[in-house]
Amino acid sequence: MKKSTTSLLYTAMISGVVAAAPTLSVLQMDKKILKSWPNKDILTNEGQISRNKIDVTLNEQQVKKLKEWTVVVENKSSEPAKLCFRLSIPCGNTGGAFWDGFKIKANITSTFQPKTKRYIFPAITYVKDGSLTGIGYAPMTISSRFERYCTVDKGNVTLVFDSYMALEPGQKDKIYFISQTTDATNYTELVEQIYLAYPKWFTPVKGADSRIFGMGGYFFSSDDNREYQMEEARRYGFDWEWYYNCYQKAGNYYPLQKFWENKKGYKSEPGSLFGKCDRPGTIADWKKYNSKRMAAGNKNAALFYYYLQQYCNSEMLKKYYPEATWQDKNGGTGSSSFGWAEEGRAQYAWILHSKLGDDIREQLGMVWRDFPIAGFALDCAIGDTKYYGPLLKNETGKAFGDDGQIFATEGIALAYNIDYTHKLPAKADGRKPASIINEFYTWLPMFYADAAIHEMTPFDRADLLAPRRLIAGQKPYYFWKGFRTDALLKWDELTPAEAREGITGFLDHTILSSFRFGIIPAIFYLKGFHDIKELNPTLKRLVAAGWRAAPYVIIDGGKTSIDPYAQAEEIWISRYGTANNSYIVLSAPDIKGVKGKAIIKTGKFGASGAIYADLSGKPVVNQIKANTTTIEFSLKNRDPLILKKIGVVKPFKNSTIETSLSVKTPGETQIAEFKFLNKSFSEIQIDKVGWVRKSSAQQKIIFEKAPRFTFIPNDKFIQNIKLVEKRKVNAVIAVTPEDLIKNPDAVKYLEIYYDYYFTRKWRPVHRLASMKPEYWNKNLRLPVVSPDSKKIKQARTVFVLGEKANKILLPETKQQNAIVGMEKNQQLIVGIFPGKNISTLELVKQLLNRMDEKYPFIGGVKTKWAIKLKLYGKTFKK
Amino acid sequence: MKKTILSGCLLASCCLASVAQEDKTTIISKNLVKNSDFTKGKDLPDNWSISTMAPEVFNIKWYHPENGENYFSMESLGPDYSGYINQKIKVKKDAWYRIKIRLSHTMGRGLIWLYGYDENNKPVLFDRRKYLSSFVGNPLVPRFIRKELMNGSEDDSWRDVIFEFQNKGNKNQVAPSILRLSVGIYFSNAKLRFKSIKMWEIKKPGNKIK
Repeated sequence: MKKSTTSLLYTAMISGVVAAAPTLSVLQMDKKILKSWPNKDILTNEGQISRNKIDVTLNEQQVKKLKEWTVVVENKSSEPAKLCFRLSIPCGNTGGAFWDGFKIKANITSTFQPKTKRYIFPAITYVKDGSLTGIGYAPMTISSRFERYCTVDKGNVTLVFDSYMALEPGQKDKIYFISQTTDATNYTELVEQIYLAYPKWFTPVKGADSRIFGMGGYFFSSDDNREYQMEEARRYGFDWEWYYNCYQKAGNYYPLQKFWENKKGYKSEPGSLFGKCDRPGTIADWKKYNSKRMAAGNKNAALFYYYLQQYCNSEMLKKYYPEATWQDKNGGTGSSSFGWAEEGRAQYAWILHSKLGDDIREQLGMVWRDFPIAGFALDCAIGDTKYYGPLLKNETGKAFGDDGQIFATEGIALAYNIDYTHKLPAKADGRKPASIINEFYTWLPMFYADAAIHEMTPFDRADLLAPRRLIAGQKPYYFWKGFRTDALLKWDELTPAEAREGITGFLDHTILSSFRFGIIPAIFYLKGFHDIKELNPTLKRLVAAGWRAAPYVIIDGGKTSIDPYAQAEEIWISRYGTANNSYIVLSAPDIKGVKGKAIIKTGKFGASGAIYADLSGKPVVNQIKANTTTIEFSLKNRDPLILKKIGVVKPFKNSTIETSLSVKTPGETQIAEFKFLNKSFSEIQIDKVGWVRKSSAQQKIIFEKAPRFTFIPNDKFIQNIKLVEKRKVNAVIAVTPEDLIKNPDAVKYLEIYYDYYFTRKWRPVHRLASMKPEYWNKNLRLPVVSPDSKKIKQARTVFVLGEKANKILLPETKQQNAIVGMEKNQQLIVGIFPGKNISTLELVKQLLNRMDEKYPFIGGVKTKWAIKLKLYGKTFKK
Repeated sequence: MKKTILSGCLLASCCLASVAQEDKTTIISKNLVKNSDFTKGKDLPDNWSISTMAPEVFNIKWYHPENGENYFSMESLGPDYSGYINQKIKVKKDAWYRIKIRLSHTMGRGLIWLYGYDENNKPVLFDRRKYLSSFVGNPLVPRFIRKELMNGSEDDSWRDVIFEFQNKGNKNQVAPSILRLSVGIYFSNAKLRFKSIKMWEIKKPGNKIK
């Protein structure tokens, strides 16, 4: 038994607080009883101890503001070792708040151990009188079990974090602990410091398709409707797809001949979402079909290839991978399921170090290699299901229960496999495979995943929003399901006004929860709801900037909150991003609203001297000091106030500045005005690209940002576009065959625009895949003609694409990055002039976005209550 | 996500049920639920089974006083698990059914859940649900929606909940021969009491009786 004599007493002063020293003690299970190693084996700093032929080495390092301890353990005995590493830290007197990684218990006066097992961030804090003490895991830890609690002894509180580890003879494993003592009023400070110390674990893998920061859903176009899917994606602002059911058997994600049944074939869309294969065929047919579908889909949305990796076809498992059969605590194989993800019976299996696991990983590599997907969609990535089978001997990260039975959670397997796919070679376009997981219960799959789904409405489990978001960090996170409110309201008894009040209530709750926690509602929330459609572009921008745990905003004169994310908070506050790319969002759940002053501690997140602007365009008064900016606010009608850091005072002077930022509108110059309200006139610096200082006079500085493109002479001509009159098509698209080949999608968008609009207007609630060929009005498509066609003269509106067509039809116009609208002989000629800033395709999309105001379609409300309210298939706006 | 496909069925069934409730229906069978008012049994009511994901999280009690005011009570202490009282019932293909439950619901979310089996007791893809909701503890109340507009009650008063559905298959799947009727708590801190759970075959205008 050796103990290092190295003594690096941890006495660093952090923010004026003398850091308490954590200690690490070891407990070992012997005959189902957990017994402590002797006190002399307790570690308070770097060192090594050995007992019972088990070596424990502790290394220490500072990572940003956190102390990190690496604990390496080797079992040199001939018996399995069951160890508990107990990290504890004294944290002052009773009466403070204990955050257990999930919930807060205020006013701790006696020993407390929470019973919750799920949705727990692997760290705990104790906060009292502005002082925080925290301990937990560093995020790279792979572990199947931890427990946490706080003890009270003679009025002194100690935080305790137990990490359980089971080792086979000869096996090595390691865990990483962190600790922090600092000034703070609540637990979010520790989480924020963990984010800053270990950013990799809280952001998507570098190279992830950027559309992951957008709105997701199912798409399911079919061969019949494929060409309409890009228009539907554009209309909805659809960004990524949970790409379902591409394979024949669970557990075989890139088909192997030995598993394939030609008779059964493969699943195509549309039809049942269940795993029924509906097209007989070979593996080559499967590949051809999916290549086509994915190539079409990838243009409009990032595709995440669905699989439920713990799941394996029962027959396949029995015949080819019997050793991987799941084993639960009682020796059972777990219940099997019928018809999900494939049409046969399937059951759980162990997919880490097993032949099945190896094969799955190889197949995922092949899927990534051969198809234009953006990554993987992992269903049921729960994380805490425990495996007790014989393959445990191959694994690290395993633990044991109070009864001594050794297990590993599926979370360690999910983490391993997500990590494996992250390391696959990047695609030619630089993309790396990202993984979106659904319904995580534990931290381990989420720290490795790149994004996650909250598979319920915002109000089903509001208690989970903050815990899950804290675990997800800056990764994209999504509300799923849609407005499931049939059971909530007394729909049969409500007056129309009351029903409207109710709908507005759950809509507002969704919007405010989305902004509070950076959760993007899936497409099901958007269809038929204008307010969701309108919030989406801003919300996506914020989520891409990265949700942060510590808002660093206090309300002037307000009480100090021990939980800024409690549902009952009067004002909901959140922060996104740091330094130059940062946003603050304030909202009041009470419709009456709240007025006050928000003190933003800009110095805490690299934004000292920050000037904020309201994204809605309203003026904002900023009182700027060295490390704070104070904003006056008036929140009402449950409208969120979204503040963007637009610039800084440079050189710095205490200043009071009124800021106005015009609403960003495609095709228009954006203007930022800074009016100094006190005498300390200074310079303003805008850190973003593209802003140019236009004027400075009378205490006022004006900046402008040119748009990427412009409407020429202005956008008024859009109102004069007439595509169809009395079912007669009155518009054409003029393009040469050569330019059509160069811009097929741009032309297709215009060609199908009215057909899509008119057809969907009458069938607003159908899934796109369910649209039958005869539903469409192909006679309402805009004809594509050559620039010298006689049909041009008969058209009321002519869209002109391509250099040659523009020269013929708009010969005097020499523009770049512009959409030109010119009336000529009672005819409107709309020319598309791409340039360095923007392509033909992007310009056409921008034009169509504006034409949508005249030809609106965002789907229709599709719920039972909507039938009763005569809102079915229609839209709702607050 | 696995649940999402079920909800597709749910929507369809809800729409059907909604239409059904507006039509005149006739009850054409005796009550198909055995011990539907919880009168018989020793430790637990006869003919019913109880299933929970974590028994320690549920307080389950059966009250059967001499005055006959029987009821079955379920309370969950945590939101992470579901728990149900279940009974399997033989059913006819394509027939319509009505479930009527007399209950009190003072907190959380409940579920009436029908799951299908074939004649050999093998599961088939048939899933029909009706969710039950109470405003007590709901985050929408009171700041987003007044409790007066929402379902549920703060007291122990009894109310009837009706759920109608058709036992119908599709091109890939025949209709079940047996349904498991489950009623209980769905992933929430909830309190529910059941005085009776009944089910009948019904005739709806236009449906053929076999």
